[in-house]
Amino acid sequence: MKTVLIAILLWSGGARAESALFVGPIFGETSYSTSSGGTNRDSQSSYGGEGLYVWNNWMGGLSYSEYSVAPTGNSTFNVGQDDKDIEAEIKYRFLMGPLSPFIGLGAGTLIQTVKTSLFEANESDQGDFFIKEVGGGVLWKFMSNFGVSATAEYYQYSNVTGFKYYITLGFFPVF
Amino acid sequence: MKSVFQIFLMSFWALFCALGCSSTFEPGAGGTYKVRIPISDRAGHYHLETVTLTSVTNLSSLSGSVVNLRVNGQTQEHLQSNGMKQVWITNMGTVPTAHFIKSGDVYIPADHETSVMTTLVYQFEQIKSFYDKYNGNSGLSFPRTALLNMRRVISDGTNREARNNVEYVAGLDFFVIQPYDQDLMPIPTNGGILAHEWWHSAFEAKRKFYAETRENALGNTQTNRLICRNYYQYSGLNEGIADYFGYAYSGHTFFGADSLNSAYISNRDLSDPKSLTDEGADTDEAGVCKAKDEGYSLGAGIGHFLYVLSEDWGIDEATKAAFNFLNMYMRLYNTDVDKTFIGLKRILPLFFENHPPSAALCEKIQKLTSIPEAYSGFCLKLSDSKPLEGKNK
Repeated sequence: MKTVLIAILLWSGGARAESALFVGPIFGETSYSTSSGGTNRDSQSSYGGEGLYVWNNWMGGLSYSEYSVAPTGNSTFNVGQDDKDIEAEIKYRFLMGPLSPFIGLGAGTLIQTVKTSLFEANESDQGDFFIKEVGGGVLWKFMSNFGVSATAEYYQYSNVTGFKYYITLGFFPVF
Repeated sequence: MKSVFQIFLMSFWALFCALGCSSTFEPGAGGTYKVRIPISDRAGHYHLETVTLTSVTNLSSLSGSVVNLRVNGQTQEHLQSNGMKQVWITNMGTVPTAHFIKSGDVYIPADHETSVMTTLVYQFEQIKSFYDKYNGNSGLSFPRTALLNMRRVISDGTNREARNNVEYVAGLDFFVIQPYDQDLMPIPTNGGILAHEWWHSAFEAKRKFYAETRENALGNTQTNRLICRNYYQYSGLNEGIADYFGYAYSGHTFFGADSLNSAYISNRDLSDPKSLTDEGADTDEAGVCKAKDEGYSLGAGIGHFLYVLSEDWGIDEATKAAFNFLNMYMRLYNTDVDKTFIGLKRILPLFFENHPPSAALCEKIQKLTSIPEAYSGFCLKLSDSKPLEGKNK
């Protein structure tokens, strides 16, 4: 086991001091518990962006993602939803080489817009929630300035829980 | 580094656990919740309105003192050889987790399902209050149970699923609402339909109180022609008065059409004239009790009859008469179900025990039936003259 760990460390570049930005768009899937209760879930495609400051084993920054839930119901009465999620994140990576697993947590605001349509009338209302999440993933720096991270997170706001799976296509700008 | 990592993990757990799963739906003044849901006015026009839920103690599950909900279960229906349906629940479904956003002090349902469920709870609160005015909830246990979006699989070889209907299942004391796929207002948002079903539960409570012992003693004796005919009258009255209560609560004579375009509601606009008849069910040669239409034609006649009363007396008085009728009818049914035919001649006078009809009302009633004996007694008493005769078409 020790040999394997040493091999990974050597392959990943070993421990060396690092300080950089990692920014880029994110694409993924967000699942959420439905009003039916139990384990019923739906999911939607989500997109946004992420910016992290990388300092040795630590990464911290902001992420933004959004998704829409198409109106459900029928043409007479339906309700749709737009969700925008902005969070502060902190992540800890176990290795500082090109391939680095990490865990992290985040907290922020989910802004939810509900659009209700009843016969000819339409209403739009907005509410916000404190959202928090925990997860982990892998960061792969495959060129000197580019990398990809794959992240899976469990989140909760109000009485809604769900999972986010997303990929960040990032680059490390050189200053 | 190890200690930094430990602090990181502890912070994370503190964040998740401390802020974790506490409810974010705080009630307003008096423990009530303001919600914005689709409501119908008395002309049958729907609009979004902010109303107050007074019975709900947990907004997430929408549970409270009036009704508890479960969603997405399944029932199985089997048609027995004697024509009776046997229904059993194979999956009770789950307790809902309603989603809301808060705008000011008003909770806005965040999805269609939540909006439908919330409207159902509000309508049940209002219907309970409506029935309370007439002491019409006696014998009912609270909270009531409503099973929404219940799949109804019919075991007839096809395993087809029934849709777009609601029923009160007396044996279980549940309201069961099937999945809805029409392009109108969903059934749980239709106060008239819900008040109709609520009547069935009130009717059942009275049956249990007055007639259950008697029915049990009689056993399954619908092969008896008299009991068969009386049972048909009983079913027809149940349906007809239920339609009237849908109207009395909603103010809309054709409330069913807000949600359903099925053929079986096509003749159920209470303002459309319907005739009152004693014809309907009978035993066939094999002794099987056959109802033409499970009581709907008599029901439609009774529903229109009560509508006519409400036009003359007002909804409040007609509703009182309906409840007064229910108590007297159940006693009569208990004593006479296997002795004499409980037809219109014995049914109609019960509506006028406390409120004799005017001559004008008698004329209207006369037009509804070709059975003079059905009204000659109480109309004679009023005018102290000859009873009105014949059918005025």
